[in-house]
Amino acid sequence: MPKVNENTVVTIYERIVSDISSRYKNLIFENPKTIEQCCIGLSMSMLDNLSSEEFASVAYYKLLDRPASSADISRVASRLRNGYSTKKEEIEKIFKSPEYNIKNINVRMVK
Amino acid sequence: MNSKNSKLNPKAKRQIIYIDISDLYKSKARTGIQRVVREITSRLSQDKRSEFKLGLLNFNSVNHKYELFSNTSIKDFMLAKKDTMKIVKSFKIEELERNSIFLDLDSAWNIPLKRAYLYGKLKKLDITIISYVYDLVPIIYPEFANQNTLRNFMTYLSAVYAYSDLVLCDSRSTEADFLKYKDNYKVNRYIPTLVTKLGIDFKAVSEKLSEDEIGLIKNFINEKYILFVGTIEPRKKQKLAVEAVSKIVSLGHKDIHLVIAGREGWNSGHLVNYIKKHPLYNKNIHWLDTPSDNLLDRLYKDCYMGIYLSEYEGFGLPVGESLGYGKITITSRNSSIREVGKDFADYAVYNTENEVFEIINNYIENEDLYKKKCEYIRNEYSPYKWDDVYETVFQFLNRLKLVDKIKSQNKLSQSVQAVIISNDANKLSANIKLIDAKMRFIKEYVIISPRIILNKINRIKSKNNIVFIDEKELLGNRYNKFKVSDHLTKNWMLRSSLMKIDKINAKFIMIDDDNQPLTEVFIDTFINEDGTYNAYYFYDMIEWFHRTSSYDLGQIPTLRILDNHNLELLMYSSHQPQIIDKNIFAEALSEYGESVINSPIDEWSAYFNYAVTRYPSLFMKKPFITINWPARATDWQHMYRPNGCVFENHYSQLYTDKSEAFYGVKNDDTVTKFKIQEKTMKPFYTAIDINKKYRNKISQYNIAHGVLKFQFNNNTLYLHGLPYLIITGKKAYIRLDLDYEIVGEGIDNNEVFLCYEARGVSFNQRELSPMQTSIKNYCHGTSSLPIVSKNRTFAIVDIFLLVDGKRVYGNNKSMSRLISVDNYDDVESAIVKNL
Repeated sequence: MPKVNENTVVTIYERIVSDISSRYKNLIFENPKTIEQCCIGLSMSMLDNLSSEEFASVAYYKLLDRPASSADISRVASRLRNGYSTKKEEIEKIFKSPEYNIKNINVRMVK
Repeated sequence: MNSKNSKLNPKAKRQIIYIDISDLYKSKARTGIQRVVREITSRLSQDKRSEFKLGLLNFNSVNHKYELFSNTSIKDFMLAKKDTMKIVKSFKIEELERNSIFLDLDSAWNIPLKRAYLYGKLKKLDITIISYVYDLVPIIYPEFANQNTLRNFMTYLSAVYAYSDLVLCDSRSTEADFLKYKDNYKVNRYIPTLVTKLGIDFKAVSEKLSEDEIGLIKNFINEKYILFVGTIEPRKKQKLAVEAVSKIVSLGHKDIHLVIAGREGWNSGHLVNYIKKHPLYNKNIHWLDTPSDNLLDRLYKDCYMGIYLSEYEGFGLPVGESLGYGKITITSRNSSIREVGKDFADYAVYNTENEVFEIINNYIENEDLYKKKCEYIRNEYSPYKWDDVYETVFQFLNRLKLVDKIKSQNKLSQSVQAVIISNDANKLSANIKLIDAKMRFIKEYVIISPRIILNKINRIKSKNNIVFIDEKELLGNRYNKFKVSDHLTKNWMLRSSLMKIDKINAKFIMIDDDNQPLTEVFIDTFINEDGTYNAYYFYDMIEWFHRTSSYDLGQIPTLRILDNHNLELLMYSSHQPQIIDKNIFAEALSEYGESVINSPIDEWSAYFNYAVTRYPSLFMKKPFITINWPARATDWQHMYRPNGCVFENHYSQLYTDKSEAFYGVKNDDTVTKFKIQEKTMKPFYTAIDINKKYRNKISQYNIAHGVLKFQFNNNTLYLHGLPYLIITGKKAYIRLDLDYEIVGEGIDNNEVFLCYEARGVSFNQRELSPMQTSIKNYCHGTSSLPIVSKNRTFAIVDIFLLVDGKRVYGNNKSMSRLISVDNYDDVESAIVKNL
């Protein structure tokens, strides 16, 4: 079987991003500098208006492409209700989770 | 082989094929990619020949573990009889079995377990990764892709380019796109690819329509409706169909309807609004949102014709489905669509409203043509079948271990035998002298010739041993048939007979006596360091429309045989030496069977397409590396451009005729030969590049004829694919591939040429040799007409027929204008000036 390429996945990914960006100027790819940019289609102000349970459900779905399990929801909601964390901190926790690393490389795209 | 070992030792461990079906398991979908997963997996799970153990997996994104399904529950789930499967165990990714196979058929980019992460882990376990790329829509047309799909697909494709051991594609077009972008992204390693095609066979649908469904179709079901099946999205061009049908209706054809069947696609609200707000909506234009299988079956059965005008496809299933129902199908001619529609679809070559309108209108006005075309499609169109697609997948999986064994035996240090067919001792002698000097790894020649030139062969001087085989003795009682056969058939008969001969080594270089080495050639032109073979192609068989020589005509049965066996369809008669594995050639002959042994078959394509389909990871497919194929740049147009040529397809008249490019050049002056070749091809390549880009402009400005009609001797000829403006580069030509159909007595007793005259500039003609069909008074073909600009920038072009020496003009539209430009930037202004 062929050897694994000397190009890393990330290098190839960056070349694809560069190619598409050069052909389609209206597509902008950015590193996830802000939480807002990462929450595709959602702003923090929108997230603030959600209940703790709704927030957990939406954040997991948007960031991890899966519904939050009941354990996830009760854990997050409990932390938020008891003031142990803020919604912003909960999103940062998801970014640091291994599941988020499995799903993403290092670049995200906004349109 | 694996199977043999297992039978000898029942306890031998069976290799596992893992298939991650997480997306299918979540969506339960039955169409699209999930249909592929169901069709392949259900057959693999029941195949009694299989020595593999099947491991179907679901990724649990909560605990990050794989769940393994029970094999006893696969069949019912895949046949959609049950919605769930029993899980037998759950384990970490790192616990997948070493040295197994990971067959990634599902829409893996949608699965939370990203391949950029997973494939790296699989590599550490020495697992063979086989991925499927169905299309590159998100990369080529990102503006048409859902934002999340685009982001996910980029990650997936990066992982495939970095890690996959083999990539399956559904069409040659997708394969070519995959390889093109691989080069664009500077991925330097070779990745074997295999075109599997997709099945188009239908499920029998017996349920009656519901009352609601009957209500949806009652306004058009008993009239002539044109069916457009597909998700509503800008890429599919439903708007073009709406515009063409509106024009038909405005001409008074109130019984013509357009039925769009499909769900609303991503970001397509404006298109749905356009359809819904159209004045003919719910009168002659209809939209059926997400029709059931039953309803779709009924719509196909009763439609007047099908239509599908997509800008780009990975495969083009709706085209095959429509033809499979025996329906006339109007479709665009881009990406993979001709691979599915073949000679049966009606192509709107430039995807213009005018073409679509004229093709539909022509059928409405010519009932006889309509009936004959329908009958032709019903009688002769054979859709690809899932059984055949599965067989292609199973056969290569079954040979993976054998590939490793063959590769380990192939050494760069080995000396090789050259096998040459020749009936010209002088030509042979000259070539052997060159091969002796420039292909020093050749250690023996086997010459297959008529005995009459044996004395001359004996006088050939060489450092290598020369073995003679008499063609008469080789063929035995087939020799009488051989004597009266054409050139292509003779070569096939001889070369296919060699596989039984002991004098022929297990691996040898097959050479024609006019395939000359230009520079020093090493064994690595044929065998790579890792033991893989090189296979040099020069064209896509489905696009070869020339019908002049026995070689051209032989491509038709060759294509038929390869396609019947669901093999790839590239042309490998690259007029250069190539390496042959005798066992694999013998295997191909056994699969093709006795019926083809005396037929006109292109032996190069027959061997290599079999070999690369059954042993995809044993071969590196590469564009050819020979100059003077074709002999002259005007003979036919390169589809793939040779790069780093080391061989010459030697025509002596190119050196002796004063009008030829190589006149006076010495045969050992390779530098001059390369310069002449480059200079000769350059304007032609420029013209081809301009035309590739110009296609979009033709569509944008709606400047193409749909159907031109010519009448002569009780025949009507319908010609398709002529643009209003023909753009070329100066001192070059472009070829127009024009499809035609003839209804009437036929032209067996006439000499009929398709001609053009660029007034005051040039004239050219191509004899028409249509394909006969099973339908009385109906035949069709494609003519590849070269249009020459010489040094003029503008000319009026008349297209006409020459029937037994007399000019026959078509309806008064059969005229175009020829514009030659220096570069593509001039095209826009040339169009505006000439409209």
